[in-house]
Amino acid sequence: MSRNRQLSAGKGVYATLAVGVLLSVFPLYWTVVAASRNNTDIHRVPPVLPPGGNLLHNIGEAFRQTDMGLALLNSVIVSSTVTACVVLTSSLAGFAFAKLPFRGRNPLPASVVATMMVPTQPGIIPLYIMMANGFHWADHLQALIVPAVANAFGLFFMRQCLVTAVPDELLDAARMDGCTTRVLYRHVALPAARPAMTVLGMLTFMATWNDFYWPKVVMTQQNPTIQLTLSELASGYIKDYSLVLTGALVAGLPVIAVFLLMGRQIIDGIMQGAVKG
Amino acid sequence: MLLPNVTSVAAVTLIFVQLFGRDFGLVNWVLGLFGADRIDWQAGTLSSWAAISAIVTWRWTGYNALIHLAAMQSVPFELYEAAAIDGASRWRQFRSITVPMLRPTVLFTVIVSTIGALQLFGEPLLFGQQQDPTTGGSQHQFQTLALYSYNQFWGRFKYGYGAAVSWAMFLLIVVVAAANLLAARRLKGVDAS
Repeated sequence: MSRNRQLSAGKGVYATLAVGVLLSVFPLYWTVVAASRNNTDIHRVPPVLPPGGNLLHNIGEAFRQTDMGLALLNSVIVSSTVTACVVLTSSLAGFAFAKLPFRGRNPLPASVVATMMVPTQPGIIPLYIMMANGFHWADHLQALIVPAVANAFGLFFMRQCLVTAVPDELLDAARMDGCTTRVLYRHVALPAARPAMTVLGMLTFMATWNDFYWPKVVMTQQNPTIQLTLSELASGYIKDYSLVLTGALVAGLPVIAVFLLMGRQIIDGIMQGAVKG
Repeated sequence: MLLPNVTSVAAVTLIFVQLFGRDFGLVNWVLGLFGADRIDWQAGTLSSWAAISAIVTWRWTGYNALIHLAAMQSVPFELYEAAAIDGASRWRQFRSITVPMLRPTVLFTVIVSTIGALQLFGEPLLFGQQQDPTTGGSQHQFQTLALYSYNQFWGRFKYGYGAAVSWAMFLLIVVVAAANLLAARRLKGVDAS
């Protein structure tokens, strides 16, 4: 709202904001500093603040000491597969719930959304028993992918978007012209839903990449995701913090890159109330 | 502002473990500048709570600020204009227009944050420096319910007990969220809307 500019901010406001920004950026900056130096430098008092030239060496060392290559590969595979699946299933189900007339069209999505109220934790143990003893998938990537291919949030998100994005008249007109439901989905709903699908995809990718709890339960250090390798890197008795923080940097980079490229859309998504914590 | 939120729990916690280090952490160094003694953040009950709260707060402040920003942008500008004409100061405008208009948003963030905080897992797990990180500190001083449940079923293979702990946690969440809602209603009176 440009009219709000009439309220000009005073010096105190700027100072407070500057401190806030400093506080929220500094730990990330410190990660870069620590990752580009060595353990002795980090422990120097007073601390040294400019970045050093040790970054490549540290990355090499982190890859040598842990399975970081495998972990990154696993994380990429899992995150991109889950993202593709979630976007597909959510847009299909969202389309059906938003636009197709069938019995149970209202109670079904409501019951799916109701599952969002239950936190993940109570489901974890039964899910683990299912994965480990039922399917024998413990420590396999399927255990991370299959339970995540569809979720209530994605369905709800796509349904809300499609209800307004595609006018019923358009669908009726297309049906008059002889389109099947599949064609309606592909050529009418999908193009209209593309922006929402992009946002959903990014959110899913970041959430899957950053997920810690479920991988921690079902995977081991033999077949880790990047977040698990990170915790492994930090679990030694004597820690080399420059390595730990190098790991944090490597694990954070892909998500930060996605965020810097598409941050605007993510912020818009949050501000429209699409994203829940 | 949103960067902390998109960085993973694991990475953020490890960064803060370093910052909260007893001997070489920056936090203790800054406190030392003001003449305070070094704090062993993991050892004390209060200090470990404060440190973990700081981590969570740092991660979520930007996100919640965005939600509040969105809500503030939808407050009609005319209200401020009218208030200014009536001679209300900035502070008065904030107290009497912004805060009441934002109440649903504040309530939303309070409840969502409470629910999220009751489920903390990664932060206390990685914050611990013990051999077995699931104990949440040497005296269990920062063991959360989620951590306890994990410790029981994964460390000791008590699946049923662990699941029961998770369900107890869920009930607690429901109770706390309901209490939040009631308290918010009671304190401010029910909105006309």
